[in-house]
Amino acid sequence: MKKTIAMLLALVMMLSLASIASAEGKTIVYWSMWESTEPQGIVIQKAVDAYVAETGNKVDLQFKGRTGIREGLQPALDAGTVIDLFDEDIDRVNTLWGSYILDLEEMVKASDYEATAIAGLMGACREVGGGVLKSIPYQPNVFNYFYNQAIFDEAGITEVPQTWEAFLDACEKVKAAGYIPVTSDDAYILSTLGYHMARYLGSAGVTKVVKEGLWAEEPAVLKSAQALEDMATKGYFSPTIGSSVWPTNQNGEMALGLAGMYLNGSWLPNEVKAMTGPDFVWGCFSYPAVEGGTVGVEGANYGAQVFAINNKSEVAQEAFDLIVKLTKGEHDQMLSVESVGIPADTTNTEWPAALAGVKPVMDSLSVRFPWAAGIEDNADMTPIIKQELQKLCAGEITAQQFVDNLEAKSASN
Amino acid sequence: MHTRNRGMIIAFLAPALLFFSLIFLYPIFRTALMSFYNVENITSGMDAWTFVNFDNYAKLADTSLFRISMWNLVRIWGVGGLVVMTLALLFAVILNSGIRGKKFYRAVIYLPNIISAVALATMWLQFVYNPRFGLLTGVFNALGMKGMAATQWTAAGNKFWALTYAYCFGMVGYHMLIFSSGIEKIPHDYYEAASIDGANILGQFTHITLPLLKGVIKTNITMWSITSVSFFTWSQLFSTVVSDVDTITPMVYLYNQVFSGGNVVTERNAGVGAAVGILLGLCVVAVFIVINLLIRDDELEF
Amino acid sequence: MSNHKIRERINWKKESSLLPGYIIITLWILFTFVLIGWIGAASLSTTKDIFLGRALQFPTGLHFENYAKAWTSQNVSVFFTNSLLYSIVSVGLLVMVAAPASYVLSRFKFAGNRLVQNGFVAAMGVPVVMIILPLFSSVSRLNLLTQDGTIRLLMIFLYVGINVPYTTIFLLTFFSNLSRSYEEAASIDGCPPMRTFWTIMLPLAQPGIITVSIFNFINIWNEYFMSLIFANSNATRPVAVGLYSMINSMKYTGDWAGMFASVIIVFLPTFLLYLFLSEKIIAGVTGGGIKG
Repeated sequence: MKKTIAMLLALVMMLSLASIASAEGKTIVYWSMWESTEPQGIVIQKAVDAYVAETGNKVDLQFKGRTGIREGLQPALDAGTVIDLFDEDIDRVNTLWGSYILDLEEMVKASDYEATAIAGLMGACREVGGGVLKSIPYQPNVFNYFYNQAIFDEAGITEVPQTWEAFLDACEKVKAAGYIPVTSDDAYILSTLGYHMARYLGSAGVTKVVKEGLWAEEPAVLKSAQALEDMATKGYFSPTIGSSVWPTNQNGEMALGLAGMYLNGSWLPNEVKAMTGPDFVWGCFSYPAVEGGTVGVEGANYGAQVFAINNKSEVAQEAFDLIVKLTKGEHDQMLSVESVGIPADTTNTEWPAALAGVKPVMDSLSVRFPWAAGIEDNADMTPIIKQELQKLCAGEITAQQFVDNLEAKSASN
Repeated sequence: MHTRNRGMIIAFLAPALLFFSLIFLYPIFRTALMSFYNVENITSGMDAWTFVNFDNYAKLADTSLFRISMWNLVRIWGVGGLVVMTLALLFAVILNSGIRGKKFYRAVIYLPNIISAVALATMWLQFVYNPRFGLLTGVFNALGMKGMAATQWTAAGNKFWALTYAYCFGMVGYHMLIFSSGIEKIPHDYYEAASIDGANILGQFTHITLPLLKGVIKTNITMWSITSVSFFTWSQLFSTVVSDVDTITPMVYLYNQVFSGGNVVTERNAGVGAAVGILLGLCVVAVFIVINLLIRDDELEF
Repeated sequence: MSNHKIRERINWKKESSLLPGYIIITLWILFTFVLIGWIGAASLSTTKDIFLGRALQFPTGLHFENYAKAWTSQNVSVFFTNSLLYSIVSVGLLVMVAAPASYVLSRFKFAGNRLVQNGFVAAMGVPVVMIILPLFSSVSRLNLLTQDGTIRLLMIFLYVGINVPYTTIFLLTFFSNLSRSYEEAASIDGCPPMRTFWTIMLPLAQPGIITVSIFNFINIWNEYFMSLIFANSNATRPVAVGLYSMINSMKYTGDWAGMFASVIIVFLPTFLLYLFLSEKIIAGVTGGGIKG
């Protein structure tokens, strides 16, 4: 028994030493938000391989996935784990991890990176970075209503809705054609409320409501809730909207062609393409304008995934070179094609066919909302709002009850 | 003799005590201390902490999400505990009633307990409760109960129970085994004497089995309390992206608070996390005291 | 015990009085089989068929490639190796640390004996949230989480430390049930007490050591929370965290069949182990059950 244990201990020591010893050449540790099986992961692996072959540097590429990054990066950064490069959503990287990341202005200037970058997104990165560029955008995305063109055609909807009335009308037509007008999952449902409130208040107003608990004080809350209650009463929401755990409806209703519309990100066509097949035609329109609103169809959450470099990194320049490899030219184009995404390099002008409908929407946006238009800005309230909203959309409570419940539950905050 | 043993006692006890001090004593002391400070970055030293007295506790008491998470935990412990103990005892009694294939049944009932919670929770959420192709929907449809078949098992309000029952399913086997071993130790002639006296099965159960299982019941409640207070993995798996009122537990709240597991940025304070830890610790102590008052029995029986 | 009698001749009257019991537990295990069986079937089906409710019909045949996809989605062999390493080494060390402590606690009267025992029993009830924050803070300040090697050692250290109280208390009964005549005889032969323990007493407590070790093994193998926080780099993560990321990976690509295949991949090793060792494992839970 003692011998076996001694041997095992020796084995551990050897494994430990082996991992410490392999330090020749420069190694970039890259925690990626993608999964290795995803198209993004596959392309990134190719770009990394190309980088390694060209430079002789090593890249320790770790596919963490969104959940893995969101739950694991913070403790790892706190613990001083060596992570040189990571990527995530523009807001999360710049605000949540803003104090851990490196100012990239000089490296960008030195390589004339901005000459072929999307100016609007670089601007957005500076804006959320507090005036300093601390992240490099890629995989631009927009969060808006996506629809199934075949269902719209069958329902006889020829023009995408721009106003709330037109939107309700479209819902009615889709319903009459025998489909579920609007579906959602628990992960995205909050955006529905956030967007509607932001049409009245702007996203800053939404943030104020959730942070200060102004549910009853702010009349736009009740108005928004009434609009959603109205939709629930008319049967425009999926019957499972109150219960679906992501991605149940994304797959089971949207991708299978049972539902017409889903308020989701431009990553949606890619995530479900294994189920939809190549013939599924996607359309996109901006969340409709409401009467008496302050922000119209020009406002939405748009942005990008961004790369950022740890300010403790000893291989910052190498990491930046890898970013360039990933976001320019050949690999950017490949990423766009394989992942049905928008190219980040402005010289890659061709967009994937599935996103043809997204381009005009993307071009028409001028007001940028943060994630979910600010409705998730109070983490202590988010789950509570989500639950009440699910009940509202499932038709279990009225708009007034919705407001009262939230007012009661945030009273002590 | 005694002086000779002293060296051995010290040598044999030292490693265990060292681990005990490093893993339990010191961290508990420090968590208690931390809960009275505002600690923005968990890795910062004590000089970067700000003393805030009972503010962290006051903040928790004031936050409805934390109160909800505590209430969820209480319900998981109470209702879930009742379900698990009832089923576990029932199965243990059945297994020891002289049925054939006892070992087989026992092995299958215990099986879920050795499966990784991550795998088990996925099975339940993605299969049993699925509204489209799920087991419950399928069974109720087959039975012609359309109303039940259309139930949204994971809707707000239902999801908590969905989570609790799924968790119970995984835990029944463990407690069944502990009950079972307790029943096996009851001498058989007790029952023979009782049946001669004309006691039926129920009478035998309430007059012989139950009173003699006191120690085992205590063990079971203790173990159940210890495991349920750290309820975390199942919650994580039942709410994929945004945490959920129905599934949040104090441990999830703490994780979000300290490690920013949520979707958006909030102010981080590890002191609040420490306060959560202390409150949960106090809950366990309270449960222990109550159990000891209710069931007087010298030793925990394993 | 009474099994022998039954096997000779079926006593129908007795069996029929047990019928309700049979029905209840049969339904329960039937549910268990359906649950696991369906997941197994779905893992060989396609995502579309699963969502259309045809997972059991295999209209397009068996899709073993789901397993290939799930296997390559993550470095599955790495996290199996990690879990194996963490559990086996920790279980071994636990015996080395807990058994001697348990022995002296059960054998000798000394000041503080009761205190230590009570402390260990109390530690078994300490929720991990009460200790996790300072532990995390200390190890990151010591820079222990920056190298894969130190992370592995740390995980083993933590698993040993967390399980020392339980293992020690569990083994107490085994040592106190051993007759003192062994030590007396050894002492007469001039064998020093420490050697007596390692060469005579420890082997005698083997049944208890094996059961508690199997139980520790399963616990460490399935552990999730601590490895999520401490061992999250790809090279060091164990099975539970690895499976979590496999499942997420399959969700993001809308690959339900692959997700169920991942579940089966993680389920199978423990299941096979259980098939062979179920009696031992069950004995591990009800430690007292085999002491007599």
